Amino acid sequence: MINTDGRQRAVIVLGATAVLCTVFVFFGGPFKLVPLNWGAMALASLVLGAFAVVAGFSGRRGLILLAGALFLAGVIVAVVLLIVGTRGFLRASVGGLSLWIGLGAGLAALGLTPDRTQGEPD
Amino acid sequence: MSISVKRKDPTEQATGAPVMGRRSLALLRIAIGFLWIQNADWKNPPSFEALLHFTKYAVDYPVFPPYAWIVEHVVLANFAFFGWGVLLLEAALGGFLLVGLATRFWALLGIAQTIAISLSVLYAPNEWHWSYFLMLLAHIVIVGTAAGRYAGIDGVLRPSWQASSSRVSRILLRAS
Repeated sequence: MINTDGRQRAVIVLGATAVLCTVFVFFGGPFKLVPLNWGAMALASLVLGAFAVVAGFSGRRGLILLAGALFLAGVIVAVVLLIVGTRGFLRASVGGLSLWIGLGAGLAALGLTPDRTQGEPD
Repeated sequence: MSISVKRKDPTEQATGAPVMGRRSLALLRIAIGFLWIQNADWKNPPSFEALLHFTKYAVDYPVFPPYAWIVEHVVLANFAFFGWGVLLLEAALGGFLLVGLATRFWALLGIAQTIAISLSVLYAPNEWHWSYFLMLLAHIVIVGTAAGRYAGIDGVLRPSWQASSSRVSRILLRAS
């Protein structure tokens, strides 16, 4: 059994959220809480979410920070795609962008903040 | 005769909130996060057509005349800038409230945005005014209870922020 502390669990939950939210591609109407459509954004959510889960289990701050940075880089790419106005597989959704802002900022905060309660240096 | 004493949950002792109360607050915060995420999605650039339609309600059905004047002469005159501002604000609101990071700060912005939306559409036809009252109340509860401390990143990182004297930690401590 792998022991995880509160921070690692938080990272794993954020990664799992990215993966689980891709189920909304199959939903429609009021229950499509995250308006993701099948395409590059959903696929990237699956891959980055899985990476964040692995980073969480490893407990390495560098990997957690990288996962957050990748989500935030994805936000920038999504904004560019919205400006350009792509369609089809590359079409970005504002709902997906919103999810990635939260996950990216959350993972970055967890990766950047040293655990001072354990005497970890900055 | 034996007396059994029910031990308090350690988190309950620390926060004073019962388990179900904390879970309810986390559920409320996450649900409001999804509210913003879902509703950010119809603010579609570059035309922001649907957003423009609802923003014009502020002028057509004025709730507060000075606000209607600002919308007519400032917002509608610079709508592309305003549209991107709303899109990014609401997208960030949804993301940050969902994960519970700097929750009180974002919920305060949620209050401000809810008031702006209410001042635009409250007197418009087919609008249920209680939608906006409930939205406002939900954000007030999130600010008042610091709901990001329950099943949120604020709750995980606050001990480290409290142990730090850095400026960023102080700011995040206030924002959470």
